[in-house]
Amino acid sequence: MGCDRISELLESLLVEILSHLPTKDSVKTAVLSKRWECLWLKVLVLDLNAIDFLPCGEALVSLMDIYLEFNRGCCIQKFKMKYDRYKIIKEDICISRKRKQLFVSAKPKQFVFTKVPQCLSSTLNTEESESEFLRFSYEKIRSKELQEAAYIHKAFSQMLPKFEKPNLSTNLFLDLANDIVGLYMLESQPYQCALVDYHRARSVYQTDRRLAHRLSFT
Amino acid sequence: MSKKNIVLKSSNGIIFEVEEAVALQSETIPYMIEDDCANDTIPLANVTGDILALVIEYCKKHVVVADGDGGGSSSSSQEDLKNWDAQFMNDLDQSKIFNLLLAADFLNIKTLFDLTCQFVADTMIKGKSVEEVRRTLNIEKDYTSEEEAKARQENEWAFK
Repeated sequence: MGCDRISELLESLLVEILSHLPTKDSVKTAVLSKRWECLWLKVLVLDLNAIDFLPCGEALVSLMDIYLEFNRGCCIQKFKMKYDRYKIIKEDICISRKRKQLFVSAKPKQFVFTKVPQCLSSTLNTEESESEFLRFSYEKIRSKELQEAAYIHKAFSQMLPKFEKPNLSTNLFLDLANDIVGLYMLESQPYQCALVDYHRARSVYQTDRRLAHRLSFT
Repeated sequence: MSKKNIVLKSSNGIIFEVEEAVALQSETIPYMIEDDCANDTIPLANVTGDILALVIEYCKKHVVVADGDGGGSSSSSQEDLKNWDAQFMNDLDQSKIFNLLLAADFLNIKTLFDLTCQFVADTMIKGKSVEEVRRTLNIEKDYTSEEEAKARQENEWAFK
């Protein structure tokens, strides 16, 4: 008793344990002791809850900044963003499926998909599935559909040509919520990421461009 | 035809004889069988007898379910298995849990490894304050107060 068994473990095992935690809990372990200071950064899983970054998402941008810089050239294994207002979002989606329009927030006028990509609507059908984020692979979503998604914000259009590279084997994560909406694109070797916050479009977009640039977004 | 058995020997010399299907949930053991003669005892120098007994208990439980998966009751058996896993982990003290984690890693039993990692994460870290985690895991704080305050500040959002 009284023995610190966990800190004796190899770093790879500690990182594995942290990968089973929400990122918030794993980040907190940085304060435990010096041994733990940078371990959370080595976890190739991001499991976030949008509400932790309200009201403006600055902390998210800075987290992604640090995390992506640290893991340049690595491949993220899992990305998950949870929204506490998921129920509202889901209701909107249910209604909108009938109308063939997708309203993704309580303030629908702000984000409207004119046509829901097929793969997206089928993802939304799964009730209470583990994936609270909407996830589909790049191969499934055609650039035309992406362009329609991009319609909702000019920033997407700016990035779009870069998404159209034919041989990108990526996972594309489209996160829809009231407060933080982001389009993440993670590619192995090296992965790339773009992050957009709608509510702070101007200032954050600047940050994103800087981020995108730094991650050699080509 | 009778089922083939495999003999495993723990680091403290305790012998376990198990069905091949039970042992082969470990991805390490097949390599050891290839290296040694097939009918010989396989020595596991990193695993003590009490932990090996737990590993085998886990593997036996899981091999049965894998076998009987042909029927329509697989969802309920999956549920049972989950409950069994939870109970299995709950009965262990912290020292056994970490030894089990090491054994699952060494023997490369993916599901058991994930189970132990998840259990450690959920019961010893998740949702706890830094002080609680330190206490639970006996982690000695080697930061000065200033260093700790700085580390907290750097990740302020996580402490809200």
